[in-house]
Amino acid sequence: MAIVACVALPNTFADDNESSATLYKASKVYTMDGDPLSPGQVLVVDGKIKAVGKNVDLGGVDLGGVEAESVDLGDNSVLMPGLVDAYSQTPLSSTGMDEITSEVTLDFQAIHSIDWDKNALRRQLHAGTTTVNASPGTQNVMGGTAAIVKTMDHGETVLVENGAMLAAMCNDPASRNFSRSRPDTIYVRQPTNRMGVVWILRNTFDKAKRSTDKDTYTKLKESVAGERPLMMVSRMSYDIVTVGTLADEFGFKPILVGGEEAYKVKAELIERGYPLILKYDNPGTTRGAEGSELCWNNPGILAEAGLTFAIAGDNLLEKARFARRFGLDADVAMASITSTPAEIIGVSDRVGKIAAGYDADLIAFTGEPLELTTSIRWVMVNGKTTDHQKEN
Amino acid sequence: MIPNHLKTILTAVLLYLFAATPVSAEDTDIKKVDAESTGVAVHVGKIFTCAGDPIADGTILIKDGKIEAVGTRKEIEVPQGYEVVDHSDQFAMPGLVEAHSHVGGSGDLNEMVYQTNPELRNWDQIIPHNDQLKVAIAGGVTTICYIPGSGTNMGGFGVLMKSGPGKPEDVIIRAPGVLKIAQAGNPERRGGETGSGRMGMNYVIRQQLMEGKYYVRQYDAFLKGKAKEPEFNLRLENFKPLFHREIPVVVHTQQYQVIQSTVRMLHDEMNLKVVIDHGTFDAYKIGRELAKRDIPVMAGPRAFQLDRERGQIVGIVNEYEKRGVKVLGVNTDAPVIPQEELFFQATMAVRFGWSEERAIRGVTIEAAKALMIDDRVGSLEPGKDADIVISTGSILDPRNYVKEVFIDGKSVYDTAKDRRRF
Repeated sequence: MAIVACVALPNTFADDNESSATLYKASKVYTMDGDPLSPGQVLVVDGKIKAVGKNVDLGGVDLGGVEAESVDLGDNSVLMPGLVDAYSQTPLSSTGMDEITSEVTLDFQAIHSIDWDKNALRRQLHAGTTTVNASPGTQNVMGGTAAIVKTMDHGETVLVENGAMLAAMCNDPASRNFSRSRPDTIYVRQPTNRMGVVWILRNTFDKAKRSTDKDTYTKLKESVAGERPLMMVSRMSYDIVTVGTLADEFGFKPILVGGEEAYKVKAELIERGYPLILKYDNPGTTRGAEGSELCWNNPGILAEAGLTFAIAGDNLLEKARFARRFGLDADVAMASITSTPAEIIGVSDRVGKIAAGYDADLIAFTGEPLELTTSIRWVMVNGKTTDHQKEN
Repeated sequence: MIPNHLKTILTAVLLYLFAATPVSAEDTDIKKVDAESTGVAVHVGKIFTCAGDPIADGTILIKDGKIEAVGTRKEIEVPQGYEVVDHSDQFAMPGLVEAHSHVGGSGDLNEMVYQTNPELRNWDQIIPHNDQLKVAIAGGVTTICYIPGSGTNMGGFGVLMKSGPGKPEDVIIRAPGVLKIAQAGNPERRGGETGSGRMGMNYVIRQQLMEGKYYVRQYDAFLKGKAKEPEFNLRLENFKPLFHREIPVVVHTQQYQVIQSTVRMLHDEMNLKVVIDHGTFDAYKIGRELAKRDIPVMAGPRAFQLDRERGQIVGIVNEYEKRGVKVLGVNTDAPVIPQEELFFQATMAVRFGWSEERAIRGVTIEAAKALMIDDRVGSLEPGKDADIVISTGSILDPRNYVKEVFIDGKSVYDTAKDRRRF
């Protein structure tokens, strides 16, 4: 992703900007970088993970002249990487999730709409989400670009400022426009159904292909060329198939977002190999957005088919727990909210794993993460921890 | 036909139903007749081939999804290794062809903002073998012309597809299949725009067609080296097969006067392949003009009408027949009439005087001719798709029912294994 800016301020790790080093000792560490360590130790220095192992030898590590503090998390303690949400609108201000005055707003950026002090965002931090791909919504056909940010510290850490392009291959823009009364004409605009959504996408991709105008379609051209991720929101089986049809026509490789009915078209998805960002709703309902027919083992079916997917949305840990309960392999469930989303959105060199050189984004648990009775003790972003007892 | 306001309500209800239509994850209805490696021989008591006289005690050979041979049991030698299906006490006919359907997909029928929408296509939203199509198969329907609605004057391009299981590319016969134009009734606008009346509507349609025709002409001239390449216009691309007369326009048109304007503008002036796709009310009175021009009529969905002069209900299909219309059939406008009741549209036409033989041709080969797919479907002849309906007797008699259906040589419905669905 050559086109994205990486803005990482160095002083986000400690309260008073002085060097610090802490060695965390836990009964088990899910590194998501090989088998779990049991017991395990993680050395955090200045907001970064410096070393990971069963026993970290402090003698061989340069601590910048400070003494390493040792924190023993005690019996049954478990560490795992902070969770990565690959598609979310939670960080966006409630009035800034969608642009509704025009169907194609390629140059709009989610970063300018993030509400860093939103309670809902803080709740996600406390639920374990440390990195989030904040995306424009689907109330218009092509909403603009997403930003990858950390959930703590008011936006001091922006991993990708101007990232993936978002397109809606679903009914959302149409159902918004459709007036449900006649005449429709002067009060609304295309699209008012999926045929119109398809047309606006085709027309825009076609214009980008033929355009010599550098400014208007630059970002979309980059997405088609594979230089910028292209996320397409599709839920219904036939819309997922249509994403493939459009990809064939215009030569792009999308990331599928939503995928509620992906289990119905897994053969087509295997053929195409698109990564998925699943909007997996907790069970209790049989219908998802657009009336999609939910399958509670959608992630399990896709995993068995060998497809790459992340699970996205609020309360990621709960989603992974339910996915596992309905058939998803536990290791895949853990990866689908950490290392896999990081890979899909292109930040796997910094987050999603506990490994030397990675950002110190950790969750400390009272037991196994996927057990329903386990709770979160604290969440760490760039070496700074939440105080769950005070803040919750 | 049903009144506009009712139709709007119906459409709304149906759109809701579409949204709630469950589609099973694993389609268990595909039978394991492997027509690709081996062949299948079907013995039948009587075959309506729709390509010549009926055959008593006949055999149909299927190979690679196509019909290999049709004839009397004595004439046809069943090759070694062929699976034999015995329906020797049943009737066989080609799969039924529906000329006007809206049940092939998600229910995204009308894009209501612009009055003409040549940029739209509906085959991105097809749902193969959906619940309505499964029942349609049980009514013998194997091919449908799935088209956008009549909410605007030009709803977009539709698709010709099979009703059986498979991926979209497996079931699509032709895309773009047809253009949908609606000339009066539903697309009438009351919001104070051009096109609130018939003059205005036809002005709008004509302007759009002229734009398309000019684009295609420019392109054709370029191909012949007589002009430079016109600027590419994605919006007008699908007009190419239309003005090249490779695909027809199916026209929501009814009543004497409206069909006059259909004939004048779309056929005489624009030189398009035109299908009259409702032709209801008193429109049959213009039948001779249609017959002179060989314009097909796919009448319906409600194909009978009170003739006030005669003081009796007349069947409009037979009225077209009497006036010499050759390519003549019926339609359901499904879901206005359920898709599986296509045969019953023909039955009612027979009640009002149409011949049984013409009625069976009307729901098969004549519809296929109108839609310009008679090289693939509509009759049981060697080389055509093996779309075969096995029924307990003439399909026109409502007491009979469909026993088994083959699409592309595969058994997709079999009452011996499935429950009887219809």
